[in-house]
Amino acid sequence: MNIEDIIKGCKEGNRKCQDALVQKFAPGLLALCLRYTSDRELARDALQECFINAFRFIGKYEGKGSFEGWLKRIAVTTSITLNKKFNQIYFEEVKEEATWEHATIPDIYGELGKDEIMKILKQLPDSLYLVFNMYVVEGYQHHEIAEVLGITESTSRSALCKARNRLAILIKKQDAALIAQAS
Amino acid sequence: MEYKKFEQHIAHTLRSEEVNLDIQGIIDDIHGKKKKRRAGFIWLWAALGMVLFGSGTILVSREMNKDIQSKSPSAKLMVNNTATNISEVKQENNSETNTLENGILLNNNHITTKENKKVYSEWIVTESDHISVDKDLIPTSVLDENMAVEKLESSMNIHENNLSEMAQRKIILTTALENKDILSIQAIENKPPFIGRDKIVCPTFSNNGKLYLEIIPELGAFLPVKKLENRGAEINSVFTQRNNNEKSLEGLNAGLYLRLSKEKTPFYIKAGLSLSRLSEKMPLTYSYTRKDTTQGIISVTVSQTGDTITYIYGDIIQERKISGNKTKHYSISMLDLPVAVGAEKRFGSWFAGIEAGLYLNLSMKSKGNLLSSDTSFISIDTPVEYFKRSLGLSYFGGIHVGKEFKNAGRIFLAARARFIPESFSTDQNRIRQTYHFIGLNLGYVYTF
Repeated sequence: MNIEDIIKGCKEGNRKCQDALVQKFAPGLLALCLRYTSDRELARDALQECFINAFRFIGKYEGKGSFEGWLKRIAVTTSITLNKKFNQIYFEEVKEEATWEHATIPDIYGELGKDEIMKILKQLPDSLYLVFNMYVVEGYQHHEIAEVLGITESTSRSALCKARNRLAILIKKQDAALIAQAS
Repeated sequence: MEYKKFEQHIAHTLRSEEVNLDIQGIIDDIHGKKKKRRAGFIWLWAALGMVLFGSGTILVSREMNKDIQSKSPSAKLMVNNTATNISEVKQENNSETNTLENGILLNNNHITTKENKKVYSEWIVTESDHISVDKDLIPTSVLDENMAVEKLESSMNIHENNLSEMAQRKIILTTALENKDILSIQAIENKPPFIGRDKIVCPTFSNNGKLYLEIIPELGAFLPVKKLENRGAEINSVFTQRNNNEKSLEGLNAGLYLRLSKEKTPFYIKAGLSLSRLSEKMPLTYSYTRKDTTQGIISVTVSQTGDTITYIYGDIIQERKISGNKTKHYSISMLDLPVAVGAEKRFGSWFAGIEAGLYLNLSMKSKGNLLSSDTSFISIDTPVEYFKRSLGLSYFGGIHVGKEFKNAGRIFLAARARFIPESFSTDQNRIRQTYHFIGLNLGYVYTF
């Protein structure tokens, strides 16, 4: 069954197609939910909510853009909403945008695996991590981030700059052991 | 490397990440078969799973080391040491496949899986071994078993080193498949980003307007603003005394509320129970004259010789002036059911709001001593009711400001005014007694 058939079946409320959709996308979406929630249990709940919402609103998907992208947007929104219930994240409202100096980093960082990347990213404050993740990994625009998180666009831009600056500093501080491990 | 490329690497790695999960469980949950997961069972299953997984991986690891040493001591295996995803290898056509190494199944012509998706192998690295697999070196097409063995052996490196941190690390062995239509790892890697700037619109769904229940305990103090009115036409001295000298003390208030808020809207409704207590102090300075009349000899007639002739009896009046000071108190306690609507706006971690509503008085009790005459008090615990037992409806409005603390709820300070139209005193009482309250409350908001 290809994805078009699955989507069509889901629009008709076909249970088998819904199950096929879950089987196809659940592992990837759980990884996404894990990045936006504080623990696995919460991520699993977010994943469940994501599919429920997807089945509910699949009629609105008109085939424009990637379906997986559409699903991921729902997963991000659901995860953030659910996580907000348990972990409040504070953003420093800014009037002026922070500046970001492009950095050069060791080539070895281009070979880091998921765990090592997450280890570095998790050292960022929650608010910066969230914006960085949404912008860099999920490809959100600043106005979309602002809308989802309830902040201003300038706050989102500032958070991204801060995240990048801190990331560059963190990378500089990484010890040789990590580099050796990654290589 | 430029930082931008590092970001691209992060995006690429994290986007293609997958995590194993109990898909059937998710399906069941989605379709409502399991209404509630039991955390206890989850832990039990997790513990059981870990034990099984641990023992399995140790066995696999031992077997793998044995095989590698016996078959190809010089075989080199390069495994991507940063990958952590684990998946089961599911193979079909057992008659056509040959077990080559632990977890690696090769077909004579190509590698296929049951679901034509991916071939994963889960290995454990011992403390002394650091195994890595370069996926480019893994043969995807093999003519026969011997060729497969030769190719695999020649393409594998086993590095022994002292990476003790790598002990017990789970490693994934990935191989691309020939079938390009399926979702292979290579397909994932070559696929354009799933979501980028391609104008994908996320639908608005119910989570956006989710209702939240909050519990709010409050403590506060208020200043009762009292008004006494004389019901009769003539001014009585008790009214004058009380109006001039009776002083309201600070009232105390405690409340417990449930608040229902809707996400992304500033409005809320709340209801709860409120207990208020106010006290009155009446200092009294009194002064009066007491007359005592007794019968006694008021006159005696005496002769020239000194003998008593007559006694005249009459009333003997004694006057005593009595004065002093007394201070007495009485208190009124009220149990109310407040219902309010309000709106709240956030400013970062700070928030401010307004609210208005009404109190439905459930009961009112009074005790203490009330001035009953110019010089004396009467206990209001007596059967005669000086105050009502219920006040009916009253109204209130207020503003509040507060601060949100990370993972610790919110606290706020509220200023409120309460207007009570009903008289506290009964209709039989010659004095109508009404109050308005102005107070400050400190509260804590806990969100479920």
